[in-house]
Amino acid sequence: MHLDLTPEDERFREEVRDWLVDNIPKGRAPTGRYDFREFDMNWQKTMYAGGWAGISWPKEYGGRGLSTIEQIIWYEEGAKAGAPDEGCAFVGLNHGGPTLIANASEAQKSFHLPKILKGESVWCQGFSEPGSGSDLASLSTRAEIDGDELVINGSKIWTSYAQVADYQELLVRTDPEARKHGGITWVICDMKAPGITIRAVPMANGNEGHLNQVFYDDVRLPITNVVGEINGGWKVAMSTLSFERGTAFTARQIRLAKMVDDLVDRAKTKTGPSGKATFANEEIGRRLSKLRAETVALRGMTFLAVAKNVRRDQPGPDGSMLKMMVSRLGKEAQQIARQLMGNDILIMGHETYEHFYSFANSVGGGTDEIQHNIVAERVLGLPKSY
Amino acid sequence: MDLHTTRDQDEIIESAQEYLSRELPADRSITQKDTALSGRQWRGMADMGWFSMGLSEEAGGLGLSVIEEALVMREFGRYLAPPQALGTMLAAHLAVDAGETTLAAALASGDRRAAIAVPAQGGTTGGPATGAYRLVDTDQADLAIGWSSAGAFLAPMDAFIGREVVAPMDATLQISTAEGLDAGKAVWRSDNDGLFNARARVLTAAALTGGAEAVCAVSTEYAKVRHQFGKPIGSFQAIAHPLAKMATRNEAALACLYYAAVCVRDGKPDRDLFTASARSVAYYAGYDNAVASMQIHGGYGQTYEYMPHFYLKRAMIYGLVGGGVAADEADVLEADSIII
Repeated sequence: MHLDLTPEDERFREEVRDWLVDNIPKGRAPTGRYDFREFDMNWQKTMYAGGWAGISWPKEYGGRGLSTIEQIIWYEEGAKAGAPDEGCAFVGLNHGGPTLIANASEAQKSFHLPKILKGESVWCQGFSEPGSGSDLASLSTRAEIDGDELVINGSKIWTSYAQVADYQELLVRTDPEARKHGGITWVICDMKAPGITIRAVPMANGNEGHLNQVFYDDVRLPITNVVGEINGGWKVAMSTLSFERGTAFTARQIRLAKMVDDLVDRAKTKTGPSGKATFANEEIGRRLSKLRAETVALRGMTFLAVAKNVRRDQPGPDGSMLKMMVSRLGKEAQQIARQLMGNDILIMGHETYEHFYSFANSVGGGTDEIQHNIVAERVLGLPKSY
Repeated sequence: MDLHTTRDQDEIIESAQEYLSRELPADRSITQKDTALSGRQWRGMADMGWFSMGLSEEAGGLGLSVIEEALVMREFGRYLAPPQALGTMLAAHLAVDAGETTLAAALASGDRRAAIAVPAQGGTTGGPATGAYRLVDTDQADLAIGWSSAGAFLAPMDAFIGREVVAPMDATLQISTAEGLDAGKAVWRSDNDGLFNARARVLTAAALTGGAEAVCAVSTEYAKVRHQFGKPIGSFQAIAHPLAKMATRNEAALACLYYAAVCVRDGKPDRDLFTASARSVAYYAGYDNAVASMQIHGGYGQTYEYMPHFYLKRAMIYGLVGGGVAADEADVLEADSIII
């Protein structure tokens, strides 16, 4: 049991730091409907050009072929240095790409993976439907096989970045007669295909550039776009959900730690209506301390999960515990921030905007309720509770 | 970077579990009449090397690190070993640090036992406070240890003025009160490098983590066998989700404990942030899990004959010792930054 990096990893960290100092773009990503794509893709292109894209991806597809530890170092140093969020590159890098690596044909991999790393294609996810949320396998978007094409009809929702995406990891029902997990197919959907309509779903903070509903009206996709087997899509989708819940959170953890540091500083200096430091308010002090201690513990959880993963064939349910913690702590940080903001919460500035986003943490990427089910079944061995 | 236990460490855990499940099963607490382990039971623990494992070989120990001590202490928490075990392990370190080699040897061999002293008003003080004390697990103990971030003292039981055995919050332990302390009779050592308090925090966090894990396991087992509405209650989300929260608190507590223990062993600069965080996180895991367990057990959870309240009480005790969780919480806020 130790916390030491190898000399190679230490060197890697130094290189990352040096590169970041000179290359992080100034300013925040724009928050309009379409304007962030250019910002996010430019950052991805910069990283690719510097040799920092796909740290743990195989070399043959343009990655660096390094370990999870190096990937974590990259995320940590980036977040510490204030590098932008992956933004609309998130799905391709953390979900679509890894799913292709694990399941796709050689032709699919060599076409798509380099484009993702080079910042040339944006991916979105087509999993949830208006009638299928936590019960994902009940999805009903249909795909009829017509010769060498799939003909898609139906609708997907909560699709982040659909309006700027080139491709979608789309789950469709190819066999309505099969048991519900058995008749699903994972297919690459070209978002420019005729028959696709996209409607923005404005969020609580007024953002219209994130969530969308996508409608499919006789959309025709070549059958060669299917990843894995026809009717074998559930296995393909599940193979990387735990991936998304693992190291992909590292950057978010560091941002959370920065926010908590900031809250502590503000609570120390800000005075309340009584003239006393907000810090002297025992309730805020205790909540901040608990929040901070648990945020510190997250770092241990990440490395403990990594240590367990190198000793087993596939990631365990630890990712679900990490996700539940990160979501809860993120929301708690925003609740404390709200108290410190006082009546300035009335102004829809950056802080208020982020405040309303925090409620989505425990819903997006699998609700907290589903994570609880996973932990109850897979960590504790309890019977199915639904 | 590897936060996993080594093969040798796994063997230490396994042998502790094997011994404790045989000699000190946790459910002994339900029928236990004595408020101390017998001389034979105590010496058995000493013979396992547990009270001296972290001492150097020159000092008569096994030369193992705080990590191995923490792994054993976690099992002590799981099996509800008496808090004297924590007191005695720490007292042996204090005795060695203070050059009291005979005393250290007597603690290591199981000849002497140390109860744990906390100031009646809580809080931390420099030097042994001369005011009133509450003493935890005094039966068969001829010493008591108290500590805070300022330092630690070890006093013979007769140094406590007006000591009285009182009705104990935890009926498996003897609790005493004292009106004062004759500080002249105590061994006192300032904790200038912070190492004593860091070790104490790690070991306390370990006991809390083991308790949190055990009460989760007991509750999970109950949720599998207790049937209502024709099904095991664990198949209802109203029960399964609180259990999942317990498991998540355990994972956070254990991971933070491991990280903190490595920081102490290797003298990492983030030592104090991680040890303070580890005790805080482990305390809330231990306490909140026990509270949730009392609810999951329904009416049985309110009775003496079920396990949850034993773990609740131990979590409360381990949250009070050594300056208390409040001191850790203050230190967590003291740190300039938590970006490592």
